[in-house]
Amino acid sequence: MDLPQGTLDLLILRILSLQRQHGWGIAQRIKQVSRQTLEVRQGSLYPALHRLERRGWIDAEWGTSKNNRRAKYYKLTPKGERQLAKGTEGWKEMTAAVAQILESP
Amino acid sequence: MLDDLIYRLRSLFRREQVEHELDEELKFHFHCQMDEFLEAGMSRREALRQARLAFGGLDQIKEECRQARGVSALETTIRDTVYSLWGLCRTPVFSVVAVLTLALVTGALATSFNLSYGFFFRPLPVAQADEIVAVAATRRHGTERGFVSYPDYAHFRQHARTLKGLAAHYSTAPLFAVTAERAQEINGAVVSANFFPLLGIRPQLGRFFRANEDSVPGQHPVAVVGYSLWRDWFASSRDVLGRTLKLNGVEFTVIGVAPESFRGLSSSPNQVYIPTMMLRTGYRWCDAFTRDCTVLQMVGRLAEEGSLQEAQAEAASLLPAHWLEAEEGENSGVRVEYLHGLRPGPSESRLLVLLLLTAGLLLLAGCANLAGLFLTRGSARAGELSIRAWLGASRFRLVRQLVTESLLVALCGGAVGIVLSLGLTSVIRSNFYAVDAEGHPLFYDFTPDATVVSAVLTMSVLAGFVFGLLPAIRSSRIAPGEGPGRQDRSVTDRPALRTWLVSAQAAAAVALATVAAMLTSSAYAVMQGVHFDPSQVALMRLRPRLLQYPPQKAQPFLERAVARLEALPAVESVSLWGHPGGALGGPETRVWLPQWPAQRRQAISTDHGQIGPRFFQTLGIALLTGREFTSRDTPESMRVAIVNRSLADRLRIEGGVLGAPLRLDSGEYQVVGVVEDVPLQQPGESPRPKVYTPFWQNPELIDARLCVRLRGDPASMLSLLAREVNRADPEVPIAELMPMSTHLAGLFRPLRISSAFVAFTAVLSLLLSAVGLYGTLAFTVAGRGREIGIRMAVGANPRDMRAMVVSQGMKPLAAGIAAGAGVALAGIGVVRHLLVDPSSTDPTSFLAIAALLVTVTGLAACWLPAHRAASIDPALALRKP
Repeated sequence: MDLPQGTLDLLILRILSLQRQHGWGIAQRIKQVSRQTLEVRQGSLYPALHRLERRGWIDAEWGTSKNNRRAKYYKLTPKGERQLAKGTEGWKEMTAAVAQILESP
Repeated sequence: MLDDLIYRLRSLFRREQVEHELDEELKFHFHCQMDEFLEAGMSRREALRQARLAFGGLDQIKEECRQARGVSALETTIRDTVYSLWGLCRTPVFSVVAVLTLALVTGALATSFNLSYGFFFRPLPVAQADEIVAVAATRRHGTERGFVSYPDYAHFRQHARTLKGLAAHYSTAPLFAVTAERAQEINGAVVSANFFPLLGIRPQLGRFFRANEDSVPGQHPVAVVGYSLWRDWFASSRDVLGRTLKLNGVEFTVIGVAPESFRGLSSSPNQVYIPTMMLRTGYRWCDAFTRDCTVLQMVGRLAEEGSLQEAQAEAASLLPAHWLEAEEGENSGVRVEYLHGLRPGPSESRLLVLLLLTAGLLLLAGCANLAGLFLTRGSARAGELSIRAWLGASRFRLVRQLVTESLLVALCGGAVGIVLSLGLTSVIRSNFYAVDAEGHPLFYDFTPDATVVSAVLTMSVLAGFVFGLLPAIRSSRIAPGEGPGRQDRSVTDRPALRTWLVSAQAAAAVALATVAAMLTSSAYAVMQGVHFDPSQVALMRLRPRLLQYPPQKAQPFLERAVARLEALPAVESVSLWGHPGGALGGPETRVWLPQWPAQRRQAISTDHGQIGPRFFQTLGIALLTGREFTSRDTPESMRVAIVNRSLADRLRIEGGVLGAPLRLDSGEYQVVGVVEDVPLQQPGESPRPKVYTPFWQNPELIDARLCVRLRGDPASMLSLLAREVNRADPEVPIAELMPMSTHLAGLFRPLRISSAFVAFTAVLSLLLSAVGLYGTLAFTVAGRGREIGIRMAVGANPRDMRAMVVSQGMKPLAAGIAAGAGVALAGIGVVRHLLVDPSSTDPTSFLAIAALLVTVTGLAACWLPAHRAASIDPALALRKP
């Protein structure tokens, strides 16, 4: 299932709020947590990461992965935390509103 | 915000590192993916394949990341620019042709902008120029501007409340200036004491007029000299203050020097200023302080910025009582308007409309041609473009790259065009706007303003979009699956539009060249004199009136001057005509015959010239019948007149006009001769009826213009003539001393400018049509390379191919020439009024010349593409997929 527009950013921020992660890891986490429902393509993931980095919501650093490869790790910045809080709230409001309409008799 | 910028800059300046990091990041992802597939039990080979499939287009992801980083806009522009420069340098002929085409077109545009700005918009060099207004009298229901008298000015100044101040000036005062070293007629201005303070001008040296120096008529002979007079006559010395300068016979004391930046309010620069109370010295033709002596113009400063309407309303309510019962041609209204530019005559407005329209059309034609050139280039580069598309460039990127190229060409063209316009403007200025018809210097400031430069650059960039975008979109239309060997099939699909364009441009070139040739030959004919011979004739103007000579003193002086000149061996004959009232036009008088019943109502409105003996002989005008005036025609003898052919025809006297009695406003005359019409009015106007009476029969005349026919070049003998007249009376100023050809050049400036301009346009349009034709053919040859290759492979020789291309180019050209001939005939109708003798002008020869010109340039334009077609190697052409 493809992601609705704009939600990918939110998911990335959420995953990074738990721990620093590289691109592959983020994609895997999204797949796992959503129980294989959501799949992120590289073509959307990496541009989104670079966009978020440009906005200063996430920061990048180089590290070594479990399998001993050089990987680019992303982590949330304070600015990103605020954005995540704001985005989560907005998302809840919206889904509630959408649900209300969809479930109204 | 700052973070963002640093991030972007890092991406820009450490591009390699950032690219490398991106590469590594994606590679890591790829390996993780591989690991996953291997763990799932795939073979290494299969895992690799699957990972690649899952990844999709690597380059595309990278490009999207670059875009996400946001630097790409800037970076792309720089890269596009560098790439474009490189591409343009690779095809120098194309680049030079494109830049030059645009430069010529924008050059014409910039020139007309420069002229418009100088004529109409340049602010005055004064403080807060946007508050300065002209308060102008109007005549004939507001259709004409008029001058006002001193009492009228005083009336307006006293009552105007919406103006901070109102000053008066008479800006074209002929002042005969004499110092110990020099004597020369100069152009001065008579201005009210508040003139300089109102404009906010500070003196270069000394001071300007005090109010008390401008309150009693004739009391204070003080003068302010202009910067150039100070420099040329007084060597920029501070001692000028307190020096004496004799103006029109009256001694003035110099009290100040005007700054260099201010040359007065008209296009004739003022070299000296005197107060309005000295107007009787500055203006000798009527009593300066009476209500009927209208010589002044008014200039004011608005009390509040933008209160023009209020000022207009107030001025209209202040009309002097006698204006309300004005007769036709007298002041009857008032108009308040902003004062900027130098407001030349209506012929300049018409000229500029013509200039701007033509420049606009040229710009369009130039754009069309450049679009053609770029399309050709695009199709020649089809291979390159499809490779780039294959390598992952989006269509937008391709278009962007191509448009960058055309914008670069546009900017270069615009810049070169502005430089070109500097040259053109200065040529126009020195040829047409340096001196007026009387030989007085003019000052027009046509230096390009920042507004003009930016307008021209904007126009060229817009043009760049126009001629770049369409071809770019078309060239970048690459169907999926189209390989690098793609050829632009549209070449053979729709050549119609381009063929039409070639025809239309050839038609325009033929029409313009024909009209240009006719106008130029007409201007040449006018300068040579029609029905008279201006060569070897010198003119000079003598105005004893400036020194208040009475006729009893002036006429003997004129007689002595003529006699002295006639005695010179270099002089063939001498005559004169009264001023006002010239050989060229003259004041109007009514002419009728005594036997006409309702005499005055039927009278013929006629130009009146008062001339000396041997006038027609001196100017080379044919005497059809009767005699010239002689020295025996005196105030005591019978009053006689000579009429021109037009007047003789209009009078329709049976048995001939000779000896008939003729009534003029000034009395009864007997006709003693008939002369040929001289179309000395603007060409195209039908010859006006003209009556001549003897100068020496009018004892009231004081001023005169002399005409002297010389044996040899008049320009070299002017000082000799002046010396001789000075010997007759050293006091009398000699002015407007010049060869008659110079005078004619000034008089026929509109015709000369129009013809020069149309000629320039014709040359441009010829070049444009050649560029257009070249573009079309090159495009076709590039697109039909394979076909030509096949033809040659099956036996056609290079000469056939050359002929094929040439005939393909010349066919639409020939159609265009034929159509152009029709347009030319219509165009001649439009400019007919500018031709000297429209009825006898035969356009055939001009048409033939124009057609030949277009054909020759067309053949030249065909040569390169034809040569290219002939040198196509069939083997190479066929090997292409």
